[in-house]
Amino acid sequence: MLFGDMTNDDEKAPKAPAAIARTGSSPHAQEIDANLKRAYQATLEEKVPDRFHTLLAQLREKEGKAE
Amino acid sequence: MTANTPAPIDPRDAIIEHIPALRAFAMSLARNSASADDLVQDTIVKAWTKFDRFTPGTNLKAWLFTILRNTFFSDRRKGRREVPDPEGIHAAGLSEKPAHDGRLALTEFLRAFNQLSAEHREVLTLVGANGYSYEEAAEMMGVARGTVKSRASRARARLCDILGLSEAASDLAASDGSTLAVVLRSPVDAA
Repeated sequence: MLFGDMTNDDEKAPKAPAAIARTGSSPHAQEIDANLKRAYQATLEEKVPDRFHTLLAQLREKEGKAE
Repeated sequence: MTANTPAPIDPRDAIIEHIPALRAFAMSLARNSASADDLVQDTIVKAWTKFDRFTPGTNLKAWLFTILRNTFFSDRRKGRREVPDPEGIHAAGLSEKPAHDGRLALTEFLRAFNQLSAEHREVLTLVGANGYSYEEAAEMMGVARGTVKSRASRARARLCDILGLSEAASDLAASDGSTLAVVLRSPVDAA
């Protein structure tokens, strides 16, 4: 009666987090997403290259001159 | 500029905070860091000059992501940014971390990820890595919610194919939840 028990507990059971519910169709979805986050995080943690600080400074300076 | 004079707050100052996310998103599309950073640069210039089109109070990161992906796909249609499968250049640039608990090595995962189509890489980055809802991703991608959902599902299935993750093994994992538990409990790269 394993499944029966689960059904009885259904109302008390916490709702599945949306993220897990959304990935339901692929059996390996959670594993895939964990790896996606891991790979993404690795780039997120890199220091912002100087060229972007320079770029923003240039954009601001250019605008200052135009006004 | 004097340090003691508070400059008026420019909402564009917030752009800098989103550069790491823009670079990560660009990397998933362009697949190599030189092209990715060029894409981020173009995105910033466009965002800066069109900032009057940004609705204050709405999600700046999502707005920037939209500009970035539109720039990428539009350039690609024009034949720019066409980097044919760069053989895991992205993966090679990352320092390899040991795979604990039977988890996939990051480089192996990225090599497979980079074999996906740009559309699949995009949807997985938005929905899988960033955790955007189908609605939010649909808005950025300019497609219907249902398209995002089915595309994400196909992209995951394709990635499983490339990685050789079998359906049978996954049924087992899904029923006892142990694989999932291992993935979720693992110290997420003890950052």
